[in-house]
Amino acid sequence: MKNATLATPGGVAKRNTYWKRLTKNIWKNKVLYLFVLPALVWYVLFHYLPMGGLYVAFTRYKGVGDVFAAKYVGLKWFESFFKSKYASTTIINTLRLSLYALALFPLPIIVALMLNEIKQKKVKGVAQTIMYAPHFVSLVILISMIQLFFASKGIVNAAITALGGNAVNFMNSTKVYPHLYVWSGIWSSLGWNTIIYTAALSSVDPGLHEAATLDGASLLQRVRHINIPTIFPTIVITLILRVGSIMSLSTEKSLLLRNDVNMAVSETIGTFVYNRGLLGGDFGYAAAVGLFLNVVNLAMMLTVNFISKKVSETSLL
Amino acid sequence: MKIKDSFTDRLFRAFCYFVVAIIVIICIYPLWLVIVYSISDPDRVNAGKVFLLPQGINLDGYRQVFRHKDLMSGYWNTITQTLAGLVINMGLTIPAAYALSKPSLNGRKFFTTMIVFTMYFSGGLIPSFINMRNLGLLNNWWVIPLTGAVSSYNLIVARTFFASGVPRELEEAAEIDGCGTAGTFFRIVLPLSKAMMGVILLYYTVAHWNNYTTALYYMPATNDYWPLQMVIRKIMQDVVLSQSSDDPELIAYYSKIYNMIKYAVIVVSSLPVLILYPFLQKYFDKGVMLGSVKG
Repeated sequence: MKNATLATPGGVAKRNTYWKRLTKNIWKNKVLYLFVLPALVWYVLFHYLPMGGLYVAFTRYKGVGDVFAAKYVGLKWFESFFKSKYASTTIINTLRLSLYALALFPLPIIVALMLNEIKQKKVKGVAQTIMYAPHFVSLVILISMIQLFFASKGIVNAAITALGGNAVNFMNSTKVYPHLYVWSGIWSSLGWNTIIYTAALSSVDPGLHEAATLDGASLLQRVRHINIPTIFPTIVITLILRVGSIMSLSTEKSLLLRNDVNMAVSETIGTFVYNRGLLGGDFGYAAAVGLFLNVVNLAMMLTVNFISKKVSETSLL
Repeated sequence: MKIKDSFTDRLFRAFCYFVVAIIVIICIYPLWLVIVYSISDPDRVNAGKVFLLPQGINLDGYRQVFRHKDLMSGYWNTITQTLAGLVINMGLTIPAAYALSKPSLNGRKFFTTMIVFTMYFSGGLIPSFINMRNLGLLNNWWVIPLTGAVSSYNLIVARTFFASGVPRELEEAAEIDGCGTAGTFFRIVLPLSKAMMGVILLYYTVAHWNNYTTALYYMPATNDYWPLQMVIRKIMQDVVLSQSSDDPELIAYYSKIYNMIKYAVIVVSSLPVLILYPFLQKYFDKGVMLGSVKG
């Protein structure tokens, strides 16, 4: 600080003191820099090097040798993707699943509001513990369970036939696929997603409820006019996040749940990149499709964030 | 003064209890069924007769699971890769988060932006794959602990905690008493951050234990290093387990207990999480609260 006040106005002197101050700061805080350095190196190696490697999306690279030695083809792969039938099918398949999931966005809010009405602490605690459990079931196990339970001779069909219905071939149906995909996600995340709303509900002023009760407000009215407004900012932020990531569907889950029969609805942008790139060796083409997806995701996030900043002064970035 | 709830209020509350009870049952029933099916007589399970309680206890599934070499090696790989991963996770995340919470660190805004940016944009699968190959990590044991070494989300959570959860006066007092930055961090700050580190440790552990994609993408050729989830996937897809035989009796036996083995695999692989679960539960709400603070 002292240096700053003594600095003479003049380019060279200023720059000198700036470097002096910087080196002095680094030396004084050398331990802090040592603390942050390994993580930064990791980010460069595992995140920023691949971003530089996006150059592959503009080349004819087929997986052998050096990327930067491959022939430059410009925007060729983007063009051929958008001219192909794959563009519309993969984008529609991706949007179908994520819009379906987005439509069910209110479910955890409703459940959190209902959980909040359970006044016995022990009962509520047990209910929450059980409801969080599916969140810790791995995706591989989740899909395995679906494939076992919904198999042609699985328990679901056993129950259907026991009740007098006809067995359904769940796993090989393009109609059932979106429901299986989305509702299995609801099963695993519903309880976990209530946490954030439950936490927000804990800040509701009990005095408000007392006053409203004295004024003759019913429980339902109090939930509507006290509880929901309290958690509304949380709802908005969660919704923003969800809308912003509308195109980023879990590739992992699609890869696990798809099979040859449901391919028409299960092939998303992510699985397409995996198929064409890692399995097919079309590195340039697949990287271009992946880049398109990531740019859309980033643009969505920034737009949604910008709008929310304007509208509500709550933003994420 | 306590006003008695009106009839409609009580009706509404009863409705809430009812719905929550249904959801609780939906959450627990599939998990319960997996356990029941893993120990029940496979004939009755295959006939679709078992819906609630185990029937005709049969532990053949578990016998097969513990004899399955790939599964045991996957188990071992996941345990060692998780432990190595956690050491790297905590070693990279916690000190970096602490440094980034200090205003005296020049360029911390730039570093933070650099880290947060990766949450919203990435090179994607193909450039990452090529990068792994260039780094010599393809089909390498270390690719598993190294790929998820830092989670930006966890780092921001930890940074927010250090910036607001640790009393500044304590740190200043320690420094006046002659503790250096490192001394203050290890002796004063870390002991005060146990709850936060518990949460982050939990998140990292679950992420490692359930990780499947890293091996799928970057370990196409080395079954020996495959983690548990990858082996499970293989078992679930295989029509008959590795025991190939010409004996029709044996084939019939395996096809009979085949699903049973799958259920046993699910139980055995989820066992550590199930055992740890009740102990970790108190951290869940805390963790989400930490995360909800704006980064």
